[in-house]
Amino acid sequence: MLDAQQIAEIREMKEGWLVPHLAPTRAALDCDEEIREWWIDDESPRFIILIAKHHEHPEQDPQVASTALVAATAALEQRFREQAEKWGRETAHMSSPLQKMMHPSYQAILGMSAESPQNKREIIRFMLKDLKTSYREWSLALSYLTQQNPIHPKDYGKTDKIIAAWINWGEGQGLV
Amino acid sequence: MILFRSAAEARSQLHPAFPNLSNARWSIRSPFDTGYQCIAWAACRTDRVWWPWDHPNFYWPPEFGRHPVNSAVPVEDFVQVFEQKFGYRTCTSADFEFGYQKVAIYSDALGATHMARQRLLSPGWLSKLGIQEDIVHGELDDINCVTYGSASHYMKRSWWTALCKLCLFRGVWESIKFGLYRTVVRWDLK
Repeated sequence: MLDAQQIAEIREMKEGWLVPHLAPTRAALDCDEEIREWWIDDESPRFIILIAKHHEHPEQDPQVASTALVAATAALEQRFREQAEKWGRETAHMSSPLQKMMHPSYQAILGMSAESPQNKREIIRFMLKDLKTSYREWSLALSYLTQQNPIHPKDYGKTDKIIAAWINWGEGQGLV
Repeated sequence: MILFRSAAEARSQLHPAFPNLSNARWSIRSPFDTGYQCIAWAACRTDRVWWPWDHPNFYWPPEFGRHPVNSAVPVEDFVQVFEQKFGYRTCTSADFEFGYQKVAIYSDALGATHMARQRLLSPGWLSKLGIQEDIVHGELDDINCVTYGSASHYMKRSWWTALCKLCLFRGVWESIKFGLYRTVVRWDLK
């Protein structure tokens, strides 16, 4: 449990649009509703601004930017998961891949990957991770984002083989 | 990936997508299976996803042309394959005719969206709903919806042609397999 002074320090950072060197602990999140909302809700814009500030002033403590990047990645994964689940749920009955690709959530995910090279790499990593645990079909998106084709021609159309090929490819690239 | 979803869970996903199913008689025949979709199922296959896109995600008979990814596929592409490879001929009615097997192609403004295959020995249609379950539904209109549009093209072939193309054997084998699933796994289909 944090004491009153520690909570006051975190509040001060919040007001100054700064992040602590380390993310608030679970104890802080549990004990103070205001801090919890600040940290969890709508955090992406804050971190984007922080990263931008870091690039403007690299002499500032690099740990700040590093922490912000870790948190921004977590926020990106959360956005990815929300859109991926929506996409999977709302397109499972579709047979036309064109209709699946036109779904707003699919476009939103591709949009996230276009925000920065770092985001693109992370989105590829999230897709590979998701392939292992869900029924969602990321092969079209992966081939678009990576410009790679790890699938043997004899396995074209075979979902299980396609997933295995992409996971092998991801392992080779150090992404999974 | 194969999932044995309960009928209640399947209904909760299918009814919003296919409003007409709420008032129709239909039943689940197979588990949820990502390994094939409606076009493959219309061709009596359950081992690949069929679509005429030039991408490793999809199988398409190599003797037929493919379209680039992101392009709409006209109904004619499916008609061509089902005519030349499986012996179907275009017909004007979706009614059950003893001695014939029929398929229906659904389409919307962008092209083909879905295919259903008629049951062999009795009226009714078999549809694989994307990666979700195969269902049997009484009428083609039962699965009309925003994404499928409606059935716009019908084709038929004789049982003899189906026999020669091995589709009868495959269809019977898949029915046996799904029957075994239902018996052995005993997942909730009520």
